[in-house]
Amino acid sequence: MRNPAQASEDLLARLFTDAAFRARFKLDPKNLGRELGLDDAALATLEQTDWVGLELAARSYALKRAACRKK
Amino acid sequence: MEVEAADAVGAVGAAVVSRVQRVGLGWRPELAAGIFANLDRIDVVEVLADDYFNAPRRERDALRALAEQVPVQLHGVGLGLASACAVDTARLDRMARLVEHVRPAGWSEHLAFVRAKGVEIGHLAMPPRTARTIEQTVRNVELARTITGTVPALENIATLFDPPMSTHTEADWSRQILVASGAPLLLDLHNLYANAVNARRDPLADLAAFPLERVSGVHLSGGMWISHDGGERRLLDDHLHSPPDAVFELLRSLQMQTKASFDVVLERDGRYPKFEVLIGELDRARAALSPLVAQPLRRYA
Repeated sequence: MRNPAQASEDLLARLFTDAAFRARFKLDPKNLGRELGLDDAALATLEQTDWVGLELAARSYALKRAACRKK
Repeated sequence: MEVEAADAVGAVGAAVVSRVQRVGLGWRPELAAGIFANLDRIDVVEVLADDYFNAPRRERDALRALAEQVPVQLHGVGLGLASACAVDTARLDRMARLVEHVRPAGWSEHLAFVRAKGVEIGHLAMPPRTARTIEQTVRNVELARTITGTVPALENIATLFDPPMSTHTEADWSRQILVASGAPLLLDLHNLYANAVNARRDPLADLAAFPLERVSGVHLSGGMWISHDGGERRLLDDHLHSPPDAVFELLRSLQMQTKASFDVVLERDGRYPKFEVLIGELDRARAALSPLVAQPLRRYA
């Protein structure tokens, strides 16, 4: 069983690596966060998600993964 | 070529405290010839540890031979020590074997997580900065110390995305981890700069908020501005560009605010300029550490 802090990292890792999941999250961050096991305190912060930063970070991580695969 | 610098505060008063600070370069195969040709101007070399975990014996022996010629710092990128999850002991074992083989001056890792529940992010990511991640990160660092025999220096990372769910500022979160684990700080000044300008904060104020008395190493690098759909811009730390002026200003400010001795390492991962350009950047770092440079600090925020 993942604790809420681990669930927060699970959420971020999926947001950084899965474009479809990211799109679902944007539509309803709180419900998706709840499904993943975030606690109320964490859920309350999701409204302030930095969408620009998230997209740029996801793009940057995708480029890094692609560069790793080339090596 | 090490800089023996007087403490900047002491220099204007009666007591002058000397310290030795080394300035060097991140090891990359593309830079090897230049590094060997300029060892009289390079005090320290930082090597990416992960590149050697599965390397043939002869490559690890070559790394050990390098460490016999110049102080080598091993730098890890894949442990994911800053996390609410326990660090993988198999990965720590690999680091321990490399440390044992190379006998570096020290080793370091990042205040980052890199994977979660089987998902590899592909690079360093900042976890939510909470009491829970402080607690587990301290446990992870203690385990790293037990397995490798040395506590790693911990590096602040650049992030394009400030994680929601955080309850601490980056500086406070880092301080609590460093103090509780006894780890030194590897302060990446471009990471600090990028995070500050991306959040529209003053980089000098961010610098002052970090536990500067714990600094044992400094990274200098550069980056570029990127945007999403042509809109809002963010500074990406990409190690493909020269450090901006602001990073050297931060180095000078750091030198004035701490009495700590630290190594300064220039990181460059591609789009390599002529080696003389890199040597010039090392000279610029040495100048920033010099107490003779007594100009007021400029603000670049």
